[in-house]
Amino acid sequence: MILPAIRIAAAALLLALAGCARPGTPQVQGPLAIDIPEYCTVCIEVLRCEGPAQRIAYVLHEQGTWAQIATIWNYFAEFFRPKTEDFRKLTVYELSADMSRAVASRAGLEARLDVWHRRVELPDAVVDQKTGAWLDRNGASLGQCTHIPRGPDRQFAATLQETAP
Amino acid sequence: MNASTSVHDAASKRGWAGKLGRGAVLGLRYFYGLFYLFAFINKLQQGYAWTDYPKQVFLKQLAQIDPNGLMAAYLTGFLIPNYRLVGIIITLVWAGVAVGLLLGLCTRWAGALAIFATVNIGLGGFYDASLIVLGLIALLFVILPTGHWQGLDRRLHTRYPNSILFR
Repeated sequence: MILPAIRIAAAALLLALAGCARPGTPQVQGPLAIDIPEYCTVCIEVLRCEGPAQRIAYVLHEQGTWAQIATIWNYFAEFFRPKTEDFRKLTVYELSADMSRAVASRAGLEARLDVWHRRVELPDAVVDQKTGAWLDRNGASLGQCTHIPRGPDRQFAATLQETAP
Repeated sequence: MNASTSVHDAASKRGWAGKLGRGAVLGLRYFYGLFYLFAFINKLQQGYAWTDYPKQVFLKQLAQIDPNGLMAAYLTGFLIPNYRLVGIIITLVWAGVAVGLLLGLCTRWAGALAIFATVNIGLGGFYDASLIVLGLIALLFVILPTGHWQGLDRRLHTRYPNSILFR
């Protein structure tokens, strides 16, 4: 009774993994101007982007409990197929001229980490992690982004949350 | 009534729920064993036991965590200065857990080793909710005699009944 059940489970597992294939192009390698560890499920990432037309802060939140638990499967599957993308809950803050506080905010959004091409895809923009370039969806330059370091990132995110109208 | 009759009676009394439970725990054991086997192969590919790769990993992790916390102290006080020894121990522990759980050999000890690994992963700053689940699953292999259900422990325990390795 036990052996057949294990065989069925193993077959299901192999079928699930059989659908995985390695990407055709090589992964973009570092050094990265914006280094976001895709396996850190408890990290928050704060990108501060500045251009001639606007100043925006993107806060990528830490993942929920179930998403953290799901990383067990991700680690397992990575043996067959490298991780190519990840998704994070996102809040976008429009910044004041001195970039110290938020003057508007949009919550409940989602960012896609393109782990393979090292890009952060945001609702209205894309950040190239290799250079930190801030681009619109058509690839036109909006400005430049910086990655707030660990420690100050949480303080800055808290300030933005407090000052957002 | 001899021992084999007793085992047969116990098996026949066990309902479908018991059989399903055992199957699930054994399935988890093999999944867990494969998880560690793949991680062990990755460690070999990365040269964890003979290059400075673990040092790079620990330094990168140190930059991601609170510099004043317990995990930073563990990284700077133990893992980074002893990265060569730690790299060898990690590789051996991963191999031990994989072999133990996949073959059902010293299974309870392999479970205990997996808990040790899980705690150290957490102390090294790589903590999240998945470690709680991994630790609880490993605890199952310590508590339950899964090596007697399926594995080498059953035979070895019959042969060496006083050995604590195969209980």
